Amino acid sequence: MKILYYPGCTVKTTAKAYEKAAIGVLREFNIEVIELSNWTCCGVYPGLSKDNYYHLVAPIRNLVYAQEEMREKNIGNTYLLTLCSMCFNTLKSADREYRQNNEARERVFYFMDTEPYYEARIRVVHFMEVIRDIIGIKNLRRRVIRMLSGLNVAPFYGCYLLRPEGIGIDNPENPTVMEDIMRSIGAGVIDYPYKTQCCGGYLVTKDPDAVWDRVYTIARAAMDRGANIFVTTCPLCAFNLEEGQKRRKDRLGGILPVFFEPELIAFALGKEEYVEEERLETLNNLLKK
Amino acid sequence: MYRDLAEEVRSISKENAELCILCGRCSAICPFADKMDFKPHQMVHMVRIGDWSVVDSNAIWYCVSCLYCTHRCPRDINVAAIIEALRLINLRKRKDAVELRGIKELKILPTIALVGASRKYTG
Repeated sequence: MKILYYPGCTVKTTAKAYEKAAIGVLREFNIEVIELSNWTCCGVYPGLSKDNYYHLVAPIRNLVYAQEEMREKNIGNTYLLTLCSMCFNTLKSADREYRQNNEARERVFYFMDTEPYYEARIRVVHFMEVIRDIIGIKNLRRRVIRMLSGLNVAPFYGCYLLRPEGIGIDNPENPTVMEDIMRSIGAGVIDYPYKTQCCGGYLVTKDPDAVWDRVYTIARAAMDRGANIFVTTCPLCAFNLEEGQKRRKDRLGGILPVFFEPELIAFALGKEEYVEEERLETLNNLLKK
Repeated sequence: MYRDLAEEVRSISKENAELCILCGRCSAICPFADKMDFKPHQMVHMVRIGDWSVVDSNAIWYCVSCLYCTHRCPRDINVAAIIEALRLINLRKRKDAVELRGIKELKILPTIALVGASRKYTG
């Protein structure tokens, strides 16, 4: 099947490894990922104010682009794939607001009167939902040729994959989808209290030290429970976890490598070409131990 | 001119701070509560009693909208939206919380952090 894909800014800059692995993994399951030929910023952060609708403009405009491209290219379904948790949440929240709130729909329509009308038929999905609901974790398991049994994964969901309820892809208090996927490729998973918590997000621009301290708390908890790798799907979580551990290395006494979920899946499928070289080395070293 | 803070917050966020029972679950889960001069449940209370000093606090800028407070609230108050309203009262007067060019780690930060900051810290 074909699936239309909205990349977002960060998978095109600091998280290229994520995109490469995710598209590769989906190709292995005969899902052809078609990138939107025209996209802008998703709008970052679903708007929380209710007295105006400016925060809907960017996400709805992207959904309009997707809608038009779906029609032109005969995609055959209404999924819009996202990799970044933030893009996923922003687009999906805007879509929900647009469907439920008549005033919002009208205001956005008049504001964007040069664009085609958004018919609200798109279903924004995250990479992990595609693995769980379209491919199926059982089918993933069947294709694994290298069990990652040396890994003890600390899953890190972050905020915007889970909250608010109704937008998030799993139970916001005790999600299991990442654990299920990790176990299916043979990796061990640890339980620790911070998997659904915030990494510090954009506070890193205002008070980086507060974020590094936050990361210290998270990494300490994961290390004490025997983790040897962090797995996440949010490029901002990945950056904060990586950089924060570097800054607090002395106190932590080590650094857990941070990987994106599809990188590990690609490795387990035996498709090393989808993982970047220096990261491949890190993985091999972890598995040797 | 006298303005009612509770009313102003309600008009921006459509959230009713009156519902709060001060149980403190929002503050218990808040990842940055220890950095805040007022904890989330205190901020909600200050909105309710019309204490404008919360608008000038540093606490509102330590909220990173992780939505855990909103999720845990037994009274279904969108606490994050109330704090967002307090930020917007500042931002709509062009009182920015960061100077984007002056960000310390500017060279290494991913775009998502910078766009997030420009959305949340600048008007």
